[in-house]
Amino acid sequence: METLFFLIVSIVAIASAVMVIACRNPINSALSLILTFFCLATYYVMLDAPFLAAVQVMVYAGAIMVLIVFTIMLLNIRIDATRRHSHMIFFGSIVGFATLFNTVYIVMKSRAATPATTVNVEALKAGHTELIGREMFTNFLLPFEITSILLLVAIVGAVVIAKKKI
Amino acid sequence: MLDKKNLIKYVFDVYVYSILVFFINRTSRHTEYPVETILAIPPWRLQMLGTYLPILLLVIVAVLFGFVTLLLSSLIGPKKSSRIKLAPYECGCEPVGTARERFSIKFYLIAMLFILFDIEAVFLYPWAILYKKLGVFGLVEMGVFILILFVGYIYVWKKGALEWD
Repeated sequence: METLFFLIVSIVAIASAVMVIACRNPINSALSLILTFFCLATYYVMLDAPFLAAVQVMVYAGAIMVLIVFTIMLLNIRIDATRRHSHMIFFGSIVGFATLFNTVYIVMKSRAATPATTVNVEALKAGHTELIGREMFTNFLLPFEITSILLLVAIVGAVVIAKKKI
Repeated sequence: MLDKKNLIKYVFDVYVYSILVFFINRTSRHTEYPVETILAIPPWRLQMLGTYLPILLLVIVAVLFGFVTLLLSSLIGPKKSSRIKLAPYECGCEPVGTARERFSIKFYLIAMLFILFDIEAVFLYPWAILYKKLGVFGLVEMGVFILILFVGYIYVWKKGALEWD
């Protein structure tokens, strides 16, 4: 049952990911990307990581997609402009394949390190969100506080770049 | 005691519950562990996928509704197109220029600020769950985090980035 469900989600994920690069209209690509993000959120749920799933939907499918759609509308890409930039497909595919090999390498390496049944009983006992929070607010306290500085820099940067008169 | 309204509700509850039980039994992946280990896990976490069944049903119904509505209207709806009917609808006015207009950078600024404060909100969720366990320490920690971002909020406000000019 779960294998079947996984297969269905995988087919939808791969099909929508292919649609992202195959669509001629960038808005269609962006909408396909939302579907890919939702499939990823489903994977997180199946891996007993509901907090990551919620963040995936909220931040990626929600906020980041708003940004991507606005960027498309700002740049105002015309459909016939894709032919002029065809040399970019070559460099794009190099970057894409490099990322793919990197991912496959990491997955193979981590699979060798951990046993086949990866149901984390400790994580289930405490709850996924609580486990993340406990690590973040004790062991990774400094990175957590630095994140706020990073967000502050991004806020100032956005205002400086996008505002006409500061 | 059991009037008609309650009876219907009761039958419905039993029906939903039996579906849930069926789904949970089929998706339980924790059978390879000893009984004591499984009993230590709270039951609502063990039945993780079963509890997501309503969301799955919602997604299926939403997708089916969209497809069936579009399919039915394209199958049984009349198709008599004219020049005026095919023109893009702009609140009843005559369309001006092309649809591919360049948008103002003001939208981008609002979207950017939305994302940044959205990420701040994401950090609040684990903190809210651990609030009682962390105590004053967690409160101070989150206070510093919020304070630094509040400086950013004041900056955005004072620079007039929230105004639509």
